[in-house]
This record gives sequence, structure tokens and C-alpha cells, in this order.
Amino acid sequence: MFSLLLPLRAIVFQLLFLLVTISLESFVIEKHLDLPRKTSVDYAASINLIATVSGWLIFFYFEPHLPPVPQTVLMKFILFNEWSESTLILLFAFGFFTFFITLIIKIAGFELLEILAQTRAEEQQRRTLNDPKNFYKSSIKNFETTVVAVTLLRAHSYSHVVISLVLIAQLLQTKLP
Amino acid sequence: MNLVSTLIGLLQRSLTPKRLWSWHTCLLVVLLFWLFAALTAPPRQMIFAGLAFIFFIVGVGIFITENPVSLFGVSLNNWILSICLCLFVFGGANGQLNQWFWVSFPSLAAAIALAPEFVRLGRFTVPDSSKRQRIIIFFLSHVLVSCWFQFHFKIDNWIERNPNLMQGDFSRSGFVIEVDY
Repeated sequence: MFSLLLPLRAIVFQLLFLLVTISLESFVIEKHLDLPRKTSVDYAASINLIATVSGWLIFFYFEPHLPPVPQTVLMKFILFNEWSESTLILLFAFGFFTFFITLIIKIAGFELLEILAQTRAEEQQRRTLNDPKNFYKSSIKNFETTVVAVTLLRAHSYSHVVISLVLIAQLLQTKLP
Repeated sequence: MNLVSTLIGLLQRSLTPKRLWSWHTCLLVVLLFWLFAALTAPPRQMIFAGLAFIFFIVGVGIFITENPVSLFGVSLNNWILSICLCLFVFGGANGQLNQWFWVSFPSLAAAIALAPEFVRLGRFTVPDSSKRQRIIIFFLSHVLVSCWFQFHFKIDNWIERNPNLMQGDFSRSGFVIEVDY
């Protein structure tokens, strides 16, 4: 008799979180950056996939270099959902850190996508040609970058509130009889 | 007797190559190399087996480009080719599949599926800007599958280092489930 540990729950949770974040963030991007729905879904999906994949890569790279104590805490949390008051602070710090790292990755990813895919630039060019009133809005470059960053921060915060609620429910599961 | 001769005739007809580069040719070359491998001793045997595998991959490649395989309208060609290639590169001699096989085949499948987008008329081209976003999403979603496999091996590695972890109760975990087989 052999037993095998499969990260199936992690996969299901990740898919759920990806769906939730992509739908929420595409909605926010659509509203605040004034893009068509399909484009904003594409943007949300790409930046979230970039953030998730780079998150995994960061985890795989840094996990072996962690000091023994946080490593054991992480191991026990992942394998047994086991935590105490003292380790909870470490886990919260970990989550806090993750929030800002993924936000930075998302903003950088969005800018990378602008360079690679150029969909938003084309869209805006089309709009500027059609409507002269939009000309001033799109011509101020600095203003634009801030708008993108703030929109992404907003979208990221909304989706992480939902994710946190699910995770807290998951955490409290151990304390219930 | 009649049955045997019809069978041989059928086999001969279906195995005879219709032109030089067809999967029939590759299959015959594979059989030939396997025969060589069966007749020789280790160091040389491995070379023949490897050559047989290379021609097997070429044959599979030709076969699936002629008869595409798809499931529910999704093409599986890239997956088949990627699995064959990864088996060749990472497959152990004893038939054991290692971590690198599992981690690399989803990403390689995406790369194989996307390769035609980057090649036009035999030279490298940058895909149209309208397709780039789709390409990024497609590739990253496959890389994500690779990451999941890597996560599985990461957990395996933890258990290997601390075997007493296996005694714990995994039912409350938010990440893993225990499967007995």
C-alpha cells in the first residue's frame, strides 16, 4: 500500500481564485480604463497568469533558502493546515508581502503587455481619431501611468479581499470542532 | 494458409512506404534499429535504442500532421509530440519517469503548439499584435500546469526529508489530498 500526496486542493483553489480575480479585475479595468470588455478580460487574464506563474517561480526559488523555522511553519501550514498564534503572525506577514509583490508584478506585467500586445494603444488611437475630445486625455503620459497603477491597485485589492475571505474560512476550519 | 498469406499481404501493403518521408519509412527504420539493439550488447545497444526512439518521434510527428488527433475539437497533436520528446530526453532506462518529465511536458506542449505562429515561410517572424495577447495567455496557462507538477514534487521532497510527516492528518489541509493506491 502506497500513498501519494497530490496538490489537487491547491489546484482547485488556484483555479477558483483565478476565475474570481479575472472576472473582478476585468470588470474594474473595463470601468476605469475605458476599454472594451474582451480586451479587459484578456488583460486581466494575462496579468493574473503572469503574477501566478512568477509567484510559483519565486516560491520554488526561495523556499529552499528559507531559515529552518519559517520553513517548518510553511510546511505544516501547507500539509496539515496547522497554525498557532505565534505562527499566524508569520503567515500574515507572508500574505502581506505576497500582496505587494503580486501588485508590483501585475503593474509591471501590464506595462509589458502594453509593449508586447499594443492592443490598448491601438484602441486609444482609434478613439482619438474618432473623437477629438479624448485627445487631451490620452496625450498626457504621466497621468496615464498613474491611472493604470491606481486601477490595478483597486482591482487587486478587491480580488484579494474576496480571496482573503475564502482563506480565512479555510484557516478557521481547523479551529472548529 | 490462405489467411496467413492474406494477412502478410495486408501487412505488406499497409507498411510499404508511399514516398520517402512517410511514417511507414520511419516505422521500418525503428524496427530495424530495434532489431540491431536486440542483437547488440549495452553501450552500443543504447545508441541503437536512442536512434530508434528519434525515428519513432519523427514518425509520430509525420503521422499526426497527416492525421490530426483531437478530443472535443481541441488538438492533441502538441501534447503527443511533447510527451514523446520528453520521454526521449528524460525517460529513465528502467521506465521510471522523473520529475523533469512531468514538469517540462506541459510547457513544451505549449511551445510546440505556438511554434507555427512564430514561423512564416520558413523564417522567424513576430506574430501579429492581435494574436500576441492570446499567445501569452495560452503559454502561461500551460506553464501554470508545469508549476503544479513542480509543487507536487516539492511536497514529495519535503516528505522525503522528513518521513515522519507522513504520519500526520492531511484531511484538513487546504493544499493536498492523500491518495492511496
